[in-house]
Amino acid sequence: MRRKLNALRKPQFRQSWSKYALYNMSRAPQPRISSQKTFFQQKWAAKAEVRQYHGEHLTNRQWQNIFRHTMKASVPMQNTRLAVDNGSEMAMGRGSGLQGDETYGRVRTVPYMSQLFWPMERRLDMAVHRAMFASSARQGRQFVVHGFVKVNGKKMVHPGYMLNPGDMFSVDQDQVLFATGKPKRSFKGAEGATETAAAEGEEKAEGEEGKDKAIAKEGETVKGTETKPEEEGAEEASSPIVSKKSSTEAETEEEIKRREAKEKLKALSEDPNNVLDITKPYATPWRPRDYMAPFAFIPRYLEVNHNTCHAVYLRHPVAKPGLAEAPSPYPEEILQMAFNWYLRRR
Amino acid sequence: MFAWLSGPGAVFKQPTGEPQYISSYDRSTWERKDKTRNPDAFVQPYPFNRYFKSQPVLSDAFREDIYTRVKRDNHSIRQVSAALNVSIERVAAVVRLKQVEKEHVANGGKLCTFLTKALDQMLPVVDVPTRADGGSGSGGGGGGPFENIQELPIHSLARRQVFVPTSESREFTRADAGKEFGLPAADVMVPHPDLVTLAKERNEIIPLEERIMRQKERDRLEEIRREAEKERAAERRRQKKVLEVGRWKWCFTEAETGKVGFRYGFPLPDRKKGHVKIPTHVS
Repeated sequence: MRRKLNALRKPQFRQSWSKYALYNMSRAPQPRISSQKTFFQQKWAAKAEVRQYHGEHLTNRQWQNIFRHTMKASVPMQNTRLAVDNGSEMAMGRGSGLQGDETYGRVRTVPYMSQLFWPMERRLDMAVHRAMFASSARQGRQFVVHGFVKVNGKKMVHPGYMLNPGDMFSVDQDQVLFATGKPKRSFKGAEGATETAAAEGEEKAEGEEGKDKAIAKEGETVKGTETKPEEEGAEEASSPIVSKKSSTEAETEEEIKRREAKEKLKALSEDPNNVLDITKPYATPWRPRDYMAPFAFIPRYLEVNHNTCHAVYLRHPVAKPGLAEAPSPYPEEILQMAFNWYLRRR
Repeated sequence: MFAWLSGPGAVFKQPTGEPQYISSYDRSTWERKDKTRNPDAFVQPYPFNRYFKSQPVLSDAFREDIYTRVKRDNHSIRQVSAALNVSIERVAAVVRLKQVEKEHVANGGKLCTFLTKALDQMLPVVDVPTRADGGSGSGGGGGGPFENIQELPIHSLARRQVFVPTSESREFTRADAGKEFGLPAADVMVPHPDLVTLAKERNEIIPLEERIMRQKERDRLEEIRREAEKERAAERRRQKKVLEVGRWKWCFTEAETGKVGFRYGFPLPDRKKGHVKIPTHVS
């Protein structure tokens, strides 16, 4: 396996929630493939690029074995249209309907090629990561190998298990909280705060606020004075001074939302299930880890219940007009080239 | 890196009550984009893949609502799916997951409710539709329905391209197209064909009472069909012609013995090299 996952010299997309991955994603240039190269070189470059993200811990052979050249897709049907027409209107006139495609509005393309890695999303370790149970694909794999993952109630230790539609998988709750929570501080610090859970939570939150304030100030000095007032509000809503000031004046909708979110996060430590417990491998009371929000999404082919850390793989990811369900950071052109690479020997 | 994380990247550190993706910020100035002008940027987790969007998930209250509708009000999964605009398989999965949750609590297990609450602060979430418009099917805080329940998955038989010469005067309908591929018409293949029938009747300007009567008749027939099927299955089980093991049904038919089966001295392939040992299903 690769030693250094998030090298800063060349920014790469990685299937991980680390701040290094976030920083690299923030500055990675648009993936492009030079048309000066031969077709073979273009395919090779595209394949090398996409494999940085998709199943980077797998061997090429492992991926090639599950690669499928057929993509799943679905057509959104409308009840009213099905009721009014019987389909013959699409062949009227000179064969393509009386007004051509205009009858149906702007027809959006189905991004089949963005679906290239749909078999990869069937893998158990990937699904564990996509359900937000693990902070990276590698961690998802580790959870499976270490026996924390069950499929349909039975322990499954093969990360390469291909989920079937309707399979329910679950991960040990403690492991999920470890993956999504803040890391534990030194044992001494946790020991010092054993009095009350709430007190510790508040103390920490306060500490963070102080840090945020410092950060906001730094940002200000870096940016100079030409920032717009609403922009400033958006940037520094996390600092207590600004939020207090804005609560007295007129608050924008966004600021209200942020303030509420902050209060809700604080309220997490008042949840009766969220207690101080120094035996846990994560910081208690549990709080979400830093820099998690920009990676947070749950694709539609999964239905997840985070209360018990169970999820159901509903169906295979599909492509629809203007939408591909298989998550990928790469544009369609790159994925198409990679598709051609894998098609080569089939 | 740390200069970026403590400068423009600081907004990503803590959840802000709404999705906070890199694409919603300008990559050079790190100013937040205008939401009214490019709303797509706010649901696009990856800056360069405009086809992948972060779609909303069901809130915990919504899931609880689905569960009570199915379990307490005894609605069928199909009915709930049509009423709330949530796909059939998703409704079934939600009920399964909620059932697991109830059993977990009943066995004295703890719930990570705080994890769900924290994730609600960073994911796009759809809340329970209000009861008033829930019946007509507009779900979600964002306005429209949660998902299109009439999504027609493309059948593998329908992937090929066919050229069928027909006369110009012929009306070539969806049913004809389906026949060419060896499939039923799309009107029947959609997840909720009954909704199409309802829409057709609405277009035909049939009085409301008549429509209700027809629907009742259809429900009655469906009920009879289901009962008959259940009876037939029970009969086969009684005669021990069917054995249910996990998710498989073994249907026994008469067969000659001695021609197939395990042969003594012939090794089973499960210890051989080159065979994939990863199970393909778990029942």
